[in-house]
Parts: sequence; structure tokens; C-alpha cells
Amino acid sequence: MKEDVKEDGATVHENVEAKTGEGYIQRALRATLTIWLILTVVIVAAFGLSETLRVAGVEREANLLIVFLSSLLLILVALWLLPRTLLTLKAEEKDEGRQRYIQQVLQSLALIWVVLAVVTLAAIGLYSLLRAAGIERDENLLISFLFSLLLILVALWLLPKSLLTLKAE
Amino acid sequence: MDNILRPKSNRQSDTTPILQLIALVTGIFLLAFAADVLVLKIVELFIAGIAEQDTFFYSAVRQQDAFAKNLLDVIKLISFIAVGVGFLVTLAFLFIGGRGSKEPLKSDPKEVLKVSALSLRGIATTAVIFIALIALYELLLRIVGNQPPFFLIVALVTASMYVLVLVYALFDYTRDLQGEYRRQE
Repeated sequence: MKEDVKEDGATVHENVEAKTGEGYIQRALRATLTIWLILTVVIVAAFGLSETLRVAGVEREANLLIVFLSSLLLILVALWLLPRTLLTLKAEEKDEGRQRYIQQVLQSLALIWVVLAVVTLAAIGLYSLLRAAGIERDENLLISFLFSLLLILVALWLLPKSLLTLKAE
Repeated sequence: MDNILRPKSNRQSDTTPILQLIALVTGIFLLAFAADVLVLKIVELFIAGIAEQDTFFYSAVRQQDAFAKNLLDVIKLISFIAVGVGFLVTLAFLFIGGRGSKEPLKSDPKEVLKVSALSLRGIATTAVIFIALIALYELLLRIVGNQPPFFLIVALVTASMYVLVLVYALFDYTRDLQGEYRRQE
């Protein structure tokens, strides 16, 4: 009887693997990449926080403690959001919602970054042109900023709305 | 007996959703305001970091830093006004919508809660995304040093994009809420 149950369990496991079409190595690679990406984001965010606190005039020890605790919190949130299959490396179908959400967040992060980079580059280009034309620094910055605002509005209009609100379509 | 009890139960069904609605809308807008303050404060400190690196630059560059800070103050002010006005307009719209129709506003509390929770999650995550991006640029600033006016433009663009995304998220929440109430009618 026990052997039957074990066999059934193994068959279900195999079926799930066949259904998702993903082997153990693929899952491990995906988990490694995702965890690495999340760790990078957490480390960069911690660095930014540390710099921000330094500029704000917080003492070194307090700065370190705050940054460490914040990173811990961020890691916990990331682990909570991550699909459990990425942590256990088991093939399950229950975490699809979470997996989709974390994918959406990462997509959104990448997309917003790309948009910011493109808008900044365009604004810097305009700034250089205006500087060559001999326009004053402050005036130049204002014109470039207004131009970038326009570009942002166009980009937000063109971007998929689900990536801005982080809701499933 | 039945008639005596009926008005009571009706009153309860009228008031509970309205109170719940006000609490949810206030909660979401408060969170949005807090996220806005946090992200813009970080951008302000980012600009302070840029100014710190510009100490040994000539005066025109430092003057530009001060000008960028003024621009950020304007963005901040506009965003606070936008969130405040958005909150008042949302409440007014929901109340007028409720009074305009003969039937009182009705909704499935679970659905309204779900809509609010989704918006809450979206607003919080977007704030984290922008904070991470600002941190990335801070890292770049530390690595390559300030290249006037690159990081100033980055700071201003990031702040304005965040404000616009936040306003859109709040608008989307209000629209979802309205949709939910209309669906129930």
C-alpha cells in the first residue's frame, strides 16, 4: 500500500515536471539567476541607503546598523515574494501567482530603468546642443528638464499599464 | 417585529461600506503620500550628494546644483498638491456618485479590500523599484564622480517619473474602485 502511494507520488512529480517542461538543472539555473539578481538589487539599495544616510549626517555605526537591518528586511520581503519553488527547487505549480508577480516586478524594474536611461540620454543630448548654442546653464537645465518631462509623459502613455500598477492584466 | 428590525439592518448596510470606503481610500492615499515623501527625500539627499562632490567645482556648477534643488522643491510641492487634491476629488466623486443614484453605494467588501490591497502592493513595490534605481545612480556617482549636469538630470527625471507613476497608480485605484461599485449596482 505504502509502495503504491510512493509510486503515485513519483508519477505525479514526473507529470508535473513533464507539464512544466523544466528539468532540475534548468530550475537550479533559473533560481541562481533570480536570487543573484535580487541580491544585487538589495545590495545596491543598501549602498544607496548608506550613502543617503551619510549625506544626511547619520553617524557611521548607526548608519551601518540601519543599513544592515533594512537589508535584512528587504531580503525577508524578497524571500516572501519569491516563489517557493525557487528556494526548494521542487517542481510545483502552486506558486504561479507569486512567480508571475516577481517576474512582473523585475520586468517593471528593467523597463523603468531603460525608460529613465533613454529619457536622460535625450535630455543630456539636448543640454549639449543648447550649451553649444550658448544658452545659460540654469536656463539650459530648465529646458532639458521640461523636454524630459514631455518624453516621460509619452513613455508612460506608451508603456503597458500593468507594468506601472503591477497588476495582472 | 420584522418591520422594526428592517430599517436598522438597512442603516447598517448603508453606513458600513461608506465608512469602510473612507478608511480604505484614506489608507491608500496616506501610503501614497508617505511613499512620495520617502522617494522625494531620497532624491533630495541624492542631489545633496551631488552638491557634496561639486564642492571643488567652479561656482556656476554649484549654482546649477542649487537651481536643481529648487526644481525638485517645485516637483515636491506639485506632487503633494496632486495627492491631496486627488484624495479630495476621489472622496467627492464617490459620495456624489452615491447620492446621485437612488440606491446607496453597495459593494462586496472582499472585492473592495482586494482592489485596495492590490493597489497598496503596487504603490509600495513601485516605491521600492525607484529607490533601487536611485541607489544604482548613487553607486555610479561614487564610481565615476559627478559629470555635471548628468546626475542632476537623472535626479530630476527620476523624481518626476515617480510622481507621474504614483499619480497614475492612484488614478487607477479610483477607477477600479468605481468599477467595483458600478459592477455591484
